[in-house]
Amino acid sequence: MQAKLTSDELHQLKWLIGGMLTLLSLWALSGLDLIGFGLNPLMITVLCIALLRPGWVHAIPESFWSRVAVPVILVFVLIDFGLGFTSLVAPLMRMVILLLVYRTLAPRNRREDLQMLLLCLFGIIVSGALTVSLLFAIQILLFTPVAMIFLLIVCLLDQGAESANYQPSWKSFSLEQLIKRVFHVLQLRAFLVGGLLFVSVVAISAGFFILIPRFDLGQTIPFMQIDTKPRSGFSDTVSLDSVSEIIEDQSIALRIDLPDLAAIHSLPYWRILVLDNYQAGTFRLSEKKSNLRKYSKLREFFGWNKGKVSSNSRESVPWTFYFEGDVSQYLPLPTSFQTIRFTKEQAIELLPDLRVISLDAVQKSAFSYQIDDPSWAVRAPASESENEAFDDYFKNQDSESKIPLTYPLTTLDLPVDDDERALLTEVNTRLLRNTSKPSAAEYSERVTAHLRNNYRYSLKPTGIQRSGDPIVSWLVNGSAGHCELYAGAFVLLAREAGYPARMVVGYVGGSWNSVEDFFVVRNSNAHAWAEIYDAETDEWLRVDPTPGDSSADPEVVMSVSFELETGMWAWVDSLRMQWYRRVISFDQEDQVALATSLIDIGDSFLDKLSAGVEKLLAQVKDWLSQPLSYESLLRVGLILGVCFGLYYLWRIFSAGSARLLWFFGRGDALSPIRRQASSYMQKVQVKMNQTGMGDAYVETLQTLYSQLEALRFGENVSSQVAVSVFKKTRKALWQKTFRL
Amino acid sequence: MPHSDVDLKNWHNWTDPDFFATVRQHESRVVPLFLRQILPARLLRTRMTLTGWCLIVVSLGLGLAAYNTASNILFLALSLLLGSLILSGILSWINFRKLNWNLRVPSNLRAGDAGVAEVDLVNEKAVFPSMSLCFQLESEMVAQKGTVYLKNTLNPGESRKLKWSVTPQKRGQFELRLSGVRSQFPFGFLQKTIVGNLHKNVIVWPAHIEYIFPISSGGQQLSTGAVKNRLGQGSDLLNIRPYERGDALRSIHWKATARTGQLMIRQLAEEGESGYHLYVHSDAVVWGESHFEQLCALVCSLAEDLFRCGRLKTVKLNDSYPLPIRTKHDLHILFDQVALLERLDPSANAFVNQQRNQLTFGPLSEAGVAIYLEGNYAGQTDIR
Repeated sequence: MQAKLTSDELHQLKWLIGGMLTLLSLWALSGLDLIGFGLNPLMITVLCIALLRPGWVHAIPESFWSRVAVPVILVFVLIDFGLGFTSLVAPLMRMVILLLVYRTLAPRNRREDLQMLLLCLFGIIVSGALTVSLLFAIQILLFTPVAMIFLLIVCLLDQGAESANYQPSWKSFSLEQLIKRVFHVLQLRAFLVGGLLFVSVVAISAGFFILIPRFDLGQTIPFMQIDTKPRSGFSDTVSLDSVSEIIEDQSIALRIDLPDLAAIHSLPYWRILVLDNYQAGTFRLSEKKSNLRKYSKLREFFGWNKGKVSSNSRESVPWTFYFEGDVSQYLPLPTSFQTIRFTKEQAIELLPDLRVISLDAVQKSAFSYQIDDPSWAVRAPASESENEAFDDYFKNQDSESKIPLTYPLTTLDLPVDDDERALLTEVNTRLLRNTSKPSAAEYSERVTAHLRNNYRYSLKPTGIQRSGDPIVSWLVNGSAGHCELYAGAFVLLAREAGYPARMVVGYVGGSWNSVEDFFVVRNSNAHAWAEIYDAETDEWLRVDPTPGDSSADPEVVMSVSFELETGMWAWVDSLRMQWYRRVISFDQEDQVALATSLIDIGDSFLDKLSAGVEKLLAQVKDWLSQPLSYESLLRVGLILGVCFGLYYLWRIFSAGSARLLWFFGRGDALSPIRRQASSYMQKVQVKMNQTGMGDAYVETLQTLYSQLEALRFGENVSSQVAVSVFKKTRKALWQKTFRL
Repeated sequence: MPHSDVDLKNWHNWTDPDFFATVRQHESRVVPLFLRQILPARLLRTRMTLTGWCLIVVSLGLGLAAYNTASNILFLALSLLLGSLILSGILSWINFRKLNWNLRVPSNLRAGDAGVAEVDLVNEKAVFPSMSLCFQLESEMVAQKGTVYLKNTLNPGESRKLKWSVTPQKRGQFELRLSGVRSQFPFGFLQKTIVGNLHKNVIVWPAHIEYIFPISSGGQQLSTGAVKNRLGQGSDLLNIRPYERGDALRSIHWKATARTGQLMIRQLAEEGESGYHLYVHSDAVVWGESHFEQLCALVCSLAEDLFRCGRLKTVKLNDSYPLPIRTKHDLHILFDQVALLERLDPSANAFVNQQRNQLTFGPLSEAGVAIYLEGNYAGQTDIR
């Protein structure tokens, strides 16, 4: 007799599983980073204690929950919603957490069980939809079987009205004892069947996920929007050290699905934001209301007006970018590209003069987009408005007109005092010795060489004084600095020398995940560099004065090699990439492609099958038309041998399946011996019913029949005994047939 | 061809009057015949539960949100919910598959006494257990419908008896029906009910009541030296006969059984004291409804007590032949007949010979019943 859990044990198990579901949901909600008040960690702690010591929770009188807990929660929720009316998501999530914990700890019957389950599901789904994290997959895959077990126990405990309000006794409860009992009751068979069912539900769900038709509705409503802040290094205002702070973060910022590593010919500079305005150590983007920005809602954007990639060098495979959330609303982009595509119609801000694209808000979750034909050329054409503005400026340079602070002339603005300006002039004078005004490239090379030769790279800069302009003071007093100081110093020197220059922040380089073959850019790749306007060619020239492998001459493009990521973390990261590729980015096009490939596979299989059958028929026809020979007989023998071999394989498989059934507890009833005996019994019965048999033969058959009956319905016998009876039976049936 | 589980179990019972009938259920109409072919043998009703409605509403909400936001996370959650629903349907189907049940009615059931009806349940599946089953039983003999739950799981190959305790309120023949088997297995999304037509008849004997009658000392005694050649419960062996159903085990003659190879029963001569002959006439004019129920209860109670004392000879109900009560089986046959006894029209009166030690009955005031021995008052029901 198999041991079974008692009703009390089932109730206790149900309560604990309910707590585990809530814990799972709280874990999912903790990924949102917006709950605040330390509420989530507190509730997780409370719940863990409750799960380890359920007796404490059940010692609380029932009246406490209805008379104290409910009013307190209600007041908290009302105040929370009242105070945080501008953002509903955070108070909503806090309310969900409180309700979840209340529902889990307070006594509950079937209806309350259901409420708790729905709240848990809500928490996990909302968290997953907002974060689009791979953790959601893990959480929902954990949630599904646990919730099924929970519902199964609820169903088992449904024994009518009496059981509805039954509360188990927790006085002598021991968690360890219960776990032991559960493992004692659950046999390996239950685990296997449960595992099989779980795999099947995942398979069915995967099928649904693929088959549910996706319609391109054109316009989609964004899921709940959560206000989040960008990294300070990638915001409209970048003060010194803010990019360097990002460098210390090793987390992944950008994953790029590209055809091949060889497609990246030079060191890639991923431009996020271009900052034209400078004031006392802080670079800013020009005012938002300026003509610099164009708001639009589009799904596809065909590059900038100038600088599109030539048709000769275009590639057919688009590059897919997965930009992590909480980084910046500005998208990391190459210097130029042919097309950028979004998964749906997207509200964006275009800054064509700066070649920057911004989303309407900083994304909380990963954001994906596709780019065709990216390029990292060191030069990018300036816009017409920039050229006109600079031409006008250079022509009227001698007149004493005040420089207006609008883009692009902000790239010439140098808001430093006279002493500082004099210091910058002195540096430029030293650098431009014997040259009246070199080209932008030549000037950049000299400044880069000067900076690299006189300063060393360090994340902890030296020589910055509190008073005055920090960059100028670093230039004068410093000996070590980071990329922002190098780029800032370059921009100030260039502006002082009369070259329009701007600061660019973004990422440089990256690494290659060799597990799943995709490009990885980490936050530690954050970088700042500069762009200088070349009036001779009407182009912006990229200059990276920070010491490194690159040449001081900005025109020289160095060959590049990337670090290959392998090992466990690379494998984990490849899972994330698969998650983005196969799940998050799955759309109607993928469905069509999948269906087409399935049809192609089916067609190809049918073609092969029909060709094979035709070939076989032709061979048979050919063989039949030929006279008998040793060779042909040998072939027949070989085929018969294969047939017998298959037959015995099938017998072995039957024996295997019998063992499997024996494992599942029904071996006796369906053993092959019994089945074989049953089959022979029918044959012997038919034979006995035939007339014209001799008495001795009928007697033999009757004896065999009784023996077969014993095999079929009697106790288990060894296979040797059964085989001997079967042999005798076969012989008896066979002999008479031949005689007749 | 057997048509139900009951037929399958009784296929060899040739005592069934319909056994030799070639077609037991002949259906010549085209439409019912056609419907019988396409409809399932067991009518299945599926109803959404509160959990199921919640799942539907959540799925609809998720679907709407998924299409409007084009979020694959929501599509994924929706797929899992739909997958769970499909799995729930498959498991529910498996739960009922190869699950057989039969109804066993309580025997020797008396009005006012508790009896136990049983549902025999067998899980003939090879791998999957059956669980969370609820059997709905009903009968006119009790006011409320009964519900029997399968507690714990019924493993493959295992069988179990589920008991339903019933206390009938009145005598008579009633139908005990297993009206449906219900299950919300596995997740409680759907409630499946197999509407069954399994029914059994059960006879409820009249209740045992208290009465006043001197059983052991009453009646006329046989004179000394009289020949005791009538069968009875005495100590002298009169005859040996083969065993019949209902014979008491203590009556078996073991030596004769061993010699003949079959069970043999001792037949004893009657005791010195004479037995009673009960005569019941259910005249509707004489017996009001309440009096009549009391009469039935009194007859059964008196007959049982007289039988136990070995002083019951025969019982005659209206104009039927007197039923000799020799064994417990005879007594139970009498109880069955009394359980089904009805009041007769006055025209059905029959002439009755007065015989020695004959007990007759007559109504008394306040629903009481008087016992008359050879026409003289001898006792009555206890109407305290």
